[in-house]
Amino acid sequence: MKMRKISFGIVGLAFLFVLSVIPGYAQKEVTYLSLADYTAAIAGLNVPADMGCEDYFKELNAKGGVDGVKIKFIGVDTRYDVARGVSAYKRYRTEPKLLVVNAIGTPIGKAVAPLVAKDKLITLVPGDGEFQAHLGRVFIWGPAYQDSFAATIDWILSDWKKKGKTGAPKVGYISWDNPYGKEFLRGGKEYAEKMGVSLAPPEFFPPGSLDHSVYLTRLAKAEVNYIFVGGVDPTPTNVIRDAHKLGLTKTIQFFCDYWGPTSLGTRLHPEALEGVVIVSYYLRGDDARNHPLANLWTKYGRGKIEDMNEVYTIGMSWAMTFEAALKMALKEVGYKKLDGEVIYQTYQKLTGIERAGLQGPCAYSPTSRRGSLEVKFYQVKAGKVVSISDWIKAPDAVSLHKF
Amino acid sequence: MNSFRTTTVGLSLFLLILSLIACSTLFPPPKPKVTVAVTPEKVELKFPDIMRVPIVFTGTGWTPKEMVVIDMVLPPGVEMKGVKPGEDVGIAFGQADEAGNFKAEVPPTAKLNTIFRVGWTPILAPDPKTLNPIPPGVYTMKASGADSGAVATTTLEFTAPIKK
Repeated sequence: MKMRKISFGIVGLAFLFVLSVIPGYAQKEVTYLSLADYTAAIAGLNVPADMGCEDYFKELNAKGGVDGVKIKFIGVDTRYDVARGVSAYKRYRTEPKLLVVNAIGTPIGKAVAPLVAKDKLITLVPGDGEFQAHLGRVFIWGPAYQDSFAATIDWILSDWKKKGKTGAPKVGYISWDNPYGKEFLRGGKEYAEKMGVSLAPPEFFPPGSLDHSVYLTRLAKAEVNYIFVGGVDPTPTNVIRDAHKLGLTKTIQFFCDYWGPTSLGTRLHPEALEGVVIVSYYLRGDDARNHPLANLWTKYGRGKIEDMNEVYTIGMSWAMTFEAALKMALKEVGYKKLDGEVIYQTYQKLTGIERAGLQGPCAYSPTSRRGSLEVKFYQVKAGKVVSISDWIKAPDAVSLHKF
Repeated sequence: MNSFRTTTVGLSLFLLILSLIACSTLFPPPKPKVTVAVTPEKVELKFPDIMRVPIVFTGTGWTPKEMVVIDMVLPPGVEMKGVKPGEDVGIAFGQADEAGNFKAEVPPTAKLNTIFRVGWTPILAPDPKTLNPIPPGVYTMKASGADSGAVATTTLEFTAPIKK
């Protein structure tokens, strides 16, 4: 009798152990890793963006996940530090069914890329055109930076014509003296030349600069009609604040890129920023706040809707893209065979999927690493960020540059 | 009775063997013999001088072309922004060459974030008012190979700034 009890005990324990190590019996789950910056220089953008991503996954999981598969969101604070990014990736690379790694900074994305490629996963990074030029496992969030610059050149030419001006406009460019700051011109410069637009010598300043008057004065002396300002807010706001002090905003039209002032930033310097045009691949201002998905901001206790940073919608867009890929992959191979390689192949099949209009249709394909092709123009009016265009397909400036 | 006993014992053995097969990853192949060293072995916690002092890790015996990550082991009580208690913090990384040798220098951001635990302004500049150097002492530095899983450790001593 005693022997029988012991035997039953052994069988029971062994059976439970086997069940626990066979994945099919555990909760079906996949992992999304964000190599983020929650406490350093880019935190102002990354915190709300990852909130959007995490909230969307929470909502999705609460509804049962994607065909019963839940998504585990892991956000790691790398402090925009490449060494921490690589270490964090190494720590989390063995998470069950890790499929996608989002890197808040291109340098982090580039540093982990060899490991991600070995693990046959994919990386998402902001907007460097070189990932379109050299197709691989790195995908960018929207149109490449240089494409957005080219779209701005088109906008400038149209504006020039509307104003009845003759000849060609002269454009200035000012940004951080780092690879991001220079990326816009790698193809953007060639596009401007192609369109007959004269570019003044670009001005690059060190990150952390407090005053930009010297650089702006040089551009003014070059008699530019338009100035494109790079940098992550509040840097572009500070540049334009300095331009305002110099009186340049009266005669020169200023532009900002994707990371220009959000409507929270424009509240702080409404006078200096008045009239600034922002090129964006995602919804901004009231376009973002009035979007039905923005209700997740309040639902998950992030605060009042008027305090929602528009980049919250970027995070939701990352999540929706992942959701679409996961759905497609599960349909094609099922949960058991789902891995990074499958997701890599699936991301290339997402061409044309919609993300509730948060950005243009997905443009990922076997020949495209662009998250979308369209941009929208916004303008600061009375302290608000107001839409002044529909979605416009940005020209391909990447192909004009030799990478 | 005997047949029941035989069946249950047989089934138990079968399930135990199955468990061991499932846990085969618990018995990985032997790891290569690897080394890591750091130059200099002592660094003064003096800002901004430390930014001009190259802190370089080198090592041998790593799998060719593998990435080697250097993590600083945080002693109990040393808090670090962005790092959960009990976690190590990445401080450098490098790639082994064909001969299995690697070199990795601590980048400026890691010196600022990890050695000086600095806060950042949103204009991408460190905020000097927030400099909060780690306590002086001997810190363990752990090098690990991303492919081989091999681990080697060394120590780096941080000394208090010399008052002049």
